[in-house]
Amino acid sequence: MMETDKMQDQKLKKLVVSLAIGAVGGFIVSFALMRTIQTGLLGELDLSRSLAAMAGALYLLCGAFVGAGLLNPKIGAKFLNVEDAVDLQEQAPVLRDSVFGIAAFGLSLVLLAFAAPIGPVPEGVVAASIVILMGVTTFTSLRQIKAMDELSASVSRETAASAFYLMLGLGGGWSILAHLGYLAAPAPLDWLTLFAATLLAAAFWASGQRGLLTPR
Amino acid sequence: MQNRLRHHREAHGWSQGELARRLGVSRQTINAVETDKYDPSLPLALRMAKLFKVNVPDLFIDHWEPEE
Repeated sequence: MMETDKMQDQKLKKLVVSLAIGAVGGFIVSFALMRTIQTGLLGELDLSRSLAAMAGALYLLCGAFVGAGLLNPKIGAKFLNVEDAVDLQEQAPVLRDSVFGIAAFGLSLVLLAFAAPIGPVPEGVVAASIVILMGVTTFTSLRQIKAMDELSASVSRETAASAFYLMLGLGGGWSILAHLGYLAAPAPLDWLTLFAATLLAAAFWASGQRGLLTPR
Repeated sequence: MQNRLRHHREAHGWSQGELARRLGVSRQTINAVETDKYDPSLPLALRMAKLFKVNVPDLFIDHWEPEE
């Protein structure tokens, strides 16, 4: 077999493994979360809170995958989109900050979804936690910005711009329909969930545009 | 924009990682430029040209011609 064919096979295998891990992990987490919410143990959470919790869990899962890869770069290189373990180690400082930032943001959403009076976590505890978690997200984001090279900075700007237009389209459209009485107005938590979802979608789109999702 | 970065890099026997280290950027940046997914900034294009001892138009090919 030609060397290039072997490399293509390895890339395809890695892509299948990555997608399978992501799909299985995503299914298990969302299934477990939905079942827990349905039991009523976390209070009678409405759709807004359930969706916020799901979005937060998705961020936590992304952080967990990257974090697990960083803890063991040899294994991480098998399911993260990097050249090899050395490539992963080279990116470790930025990725470590990214993991903390993503996890803090995800946990914020989960805490907001489970906040009293409907959820089981007292409002004061949630508010104090959010201040700390947003501090972590801001601090790690600023450190990432400092460490970025020009491609990363470009992807970051494109992500922010795309997320803004997605928010404008989806949130703006929803608000217009709500204003005209066709739909219920978005709740404050819906805006945060929408922001989280559009940011994630925009990040994937911008990364894909720059070839960062091409199997390596 | 088409470019001959891979050609020059391979002529020097450098890996993408080695070129990235010499230019002070990430390996992904080199890969994105080589696969035409990203056009580098003018300062980076100048650094690349300086490193390979060529002119920028020898590295990056633009087919645009001014109107007569």
